[in-house]
Amino acid sequence: MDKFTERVIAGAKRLGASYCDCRLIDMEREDMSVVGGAPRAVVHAHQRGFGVRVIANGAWGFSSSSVVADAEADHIVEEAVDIAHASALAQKKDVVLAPVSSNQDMIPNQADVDPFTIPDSDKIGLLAEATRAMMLQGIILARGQMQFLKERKIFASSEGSYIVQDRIESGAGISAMAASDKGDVQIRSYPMSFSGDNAQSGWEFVEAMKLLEHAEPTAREAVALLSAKPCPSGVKDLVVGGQQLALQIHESCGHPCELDRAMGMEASFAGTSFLTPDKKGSFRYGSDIVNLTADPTIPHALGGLAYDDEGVRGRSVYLVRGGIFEHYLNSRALAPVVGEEPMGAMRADGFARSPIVRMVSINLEPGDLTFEQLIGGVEDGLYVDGIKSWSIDDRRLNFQFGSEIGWEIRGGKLQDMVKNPTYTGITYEFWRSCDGIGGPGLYHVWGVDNCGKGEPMQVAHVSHGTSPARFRHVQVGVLHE
Amino acid sequence: MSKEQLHGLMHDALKASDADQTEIVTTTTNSALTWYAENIIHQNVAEHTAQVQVRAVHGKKVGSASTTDCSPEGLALVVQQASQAARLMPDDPDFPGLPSPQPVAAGSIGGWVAATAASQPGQRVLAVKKVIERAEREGLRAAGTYQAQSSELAVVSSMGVAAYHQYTVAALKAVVMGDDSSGYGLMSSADIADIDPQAVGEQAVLTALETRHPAEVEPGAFEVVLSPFAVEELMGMLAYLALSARSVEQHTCFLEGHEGEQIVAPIVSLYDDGLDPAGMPVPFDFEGMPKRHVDFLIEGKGGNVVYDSYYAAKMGRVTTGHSLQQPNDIGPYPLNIFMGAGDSSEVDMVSHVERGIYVTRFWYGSAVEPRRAVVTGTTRDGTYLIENGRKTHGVRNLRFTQGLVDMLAHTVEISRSRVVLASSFGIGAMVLPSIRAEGFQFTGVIR
Repeated sequence: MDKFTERVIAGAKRLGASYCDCRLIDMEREDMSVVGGAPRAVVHAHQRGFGVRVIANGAWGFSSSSVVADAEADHIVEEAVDIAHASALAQKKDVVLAPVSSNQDMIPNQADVDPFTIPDSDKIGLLAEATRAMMLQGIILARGQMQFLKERKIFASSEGSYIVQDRIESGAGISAMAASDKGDVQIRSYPMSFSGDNAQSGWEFVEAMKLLEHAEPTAREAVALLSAKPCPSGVKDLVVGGQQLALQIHESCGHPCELDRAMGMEASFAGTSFLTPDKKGSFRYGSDIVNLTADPTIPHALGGLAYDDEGVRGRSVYLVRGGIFEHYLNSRALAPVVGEEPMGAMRADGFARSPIVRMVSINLEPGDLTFEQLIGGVEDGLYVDGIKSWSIDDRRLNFQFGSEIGWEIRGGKLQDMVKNPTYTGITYEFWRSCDGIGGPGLYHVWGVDNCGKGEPMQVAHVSHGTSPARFRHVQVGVLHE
Repeated sequence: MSKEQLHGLMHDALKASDADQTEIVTTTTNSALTWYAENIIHQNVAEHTAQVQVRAVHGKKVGSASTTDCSPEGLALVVQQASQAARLMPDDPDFPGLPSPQPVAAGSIGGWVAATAASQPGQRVLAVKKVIERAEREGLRAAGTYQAQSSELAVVSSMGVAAYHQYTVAALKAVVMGDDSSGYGLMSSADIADIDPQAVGEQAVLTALETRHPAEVEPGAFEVVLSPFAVEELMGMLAYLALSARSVEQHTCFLEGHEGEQIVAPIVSLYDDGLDPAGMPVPFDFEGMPKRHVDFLIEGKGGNVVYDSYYAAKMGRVTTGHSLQQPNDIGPYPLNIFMGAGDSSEVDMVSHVERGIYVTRFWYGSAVEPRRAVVTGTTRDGTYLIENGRKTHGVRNLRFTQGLVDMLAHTVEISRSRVVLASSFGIGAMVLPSIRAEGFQFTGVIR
């Protein structure tokens, strides 16, 4: 243990805390965006600070600071213990943590090439070239972005754990926005919407995206969407592409499987979950072929971790197996309430926030169909991909998602392109209608760096492995006038 | 840290910069939050953070760096890093240079209350207990947060900008749930003494009780009465989609090309005013530029959007003082939106509806067609059927898919009273009334 975390733990014990953990984090970030060949925002950020979590009088207290100094450590520990004592004023039952082994470990990052060693000019240069290549006739805005993170996180606890984890993340994406004289605006992105694709990898991950090669085809699709027909409305069979299905998994499986939500802890913000504990082990969430895992051990996955922010070693569990809801994402305090073991899903956004139950990598296990077989099994339907809009109710039941692009399917073949495709449904009805999943050759783990939850708001970096999949009798083309 | 200490540190760092122009923005935050659910407190947290953001300019090259290290050495290092970053950047032909100083109405504007800054965890816990106990008396379950925050925002630049503002935020929120219903209450203010936990709890409990055993209504077009909380979700979406220069650049702004034209109902006025003490005033933006009043809609006619110095130069306008922390990819943003008060009340509005829906809150708004500001989302925490001028009973939550411009065009009544709703950005607030609108499109039922 280092002297700083040792001081924190000793201080908390001296003040009567029955448990204490300290996370000391040093993090660098680079975020850059380019619009139409010109740099728009380039930010180099450095954060350093520590967070202290204690249990005193059977209740939680937490405090954090960006001043890493002995005197500040003493002050923050004292405040955390004071807060715990205040919490105890309204406590009905003492916090009890599931026992876990204490761990001493050092986890290296997974990057081949540290992206922070690549000059800004190379990164900006690549984005500039890609965005210029997208400026075809009809394109009004071509945007590209990259983001990189390098972190060293030390976790120390009063139970004897001392874990040092290094992490490097890289991500990038480009998008083209086209507009018509009539006011129609369409967008296409590569490799994924918003911040693109992200992974626990180095510069090699960005190079492998081949942004330049994909710039012009991406822009062409955006222009083509302007003259595409509107999305038809009705109940149709739906093939959902991998990017879009990553969102579907995130919103309709990942979030409702968070145990804190299911226990009502998020009720005042993000809501609760229809997957209540009484449904565990018996509720038919999806069809027999639907197997969804929470797996923090996938190499390079953005949601991967060796240990969570409670020092629990990450392990894979089935959230849904054979279509049956089986397990939650959990924490040391909540897991025993539903008869589970902690599985490593407590994560905090930086040093300043206390850990909460978060997704890791939530994945739909691949099936055995080719893309042609998925499409070939549809007489009258729609194929959609590219995340554009998403909305789901506060119990994660009723969703409505919009995609960047779609194609009609008739007679087992892709036909005309359609714009503004939307689809809506009830989570378990949708997943029960899944009758085909693409094989391992179509599988990709998508990195999502903008998952918001908690109060104060925390942003987590998660991932979703999936192939495209087919769903029957889905309401598409939601009308609103 | 005092204003003088903070500005002194920042000016010392400015002097050490070798860039043509340098800007330093420092934010400090002391925030505490008590988080409760299922009638217990499950998190109780505090954080003390500082961030220093530096923009350095060499010609048309702009570099940026930030740090959480507020020491003199930390500031000197981050200034040097920003300058080095700038040298390695390609030219940004659109960059107009850092803005020159303008007079700022700092000091007299208010927004800081010492009692909020000095509030203690025990004080928050006792307030939360009142909400919990009220819910428990009815056999209901309470969840929510009680936040107390004090912050400083300081901006200095080599152009001569020197701005400082300190402000506080207190906000108590309650979601109270029964077996098949829920209710909502919220109060926010710069002054923690304004927060009335009993009133917040009472509002949430009553709504949860009144909407028990919800009926199901078929989706379709309904006349609606929207509480200020519901209006907030929609105006937040509108701000993101359509009220800034970036939305003009992206062609998602419904105001573009319609200045002075009647776009929505004449009773609707929408504006941003960072100086109005009725909200949570912030006298300047993250470039130290003074906040200007910006009318988006004046009695239903198209107005303007907000600008920062970058977009102002690019589009031939002047900055309206709406820059977020630079550089950013969001563009300028209105943090102090007001909707003009009407002459009605919620009770009057409901009494004018033969058959309609009362919405306490919307949730998870997402843009379906940005150009027309068509958004989807769901209702939550208190959705009522209105029949013959009365809220008769609760209904199952509904999904809506609605054009916001269209909704404002069909707004027929606005309340006199408005509610201050602290921004989720941690700075600024919306001040919004209840509204009555016709033909609101519900497109699904949450079963």
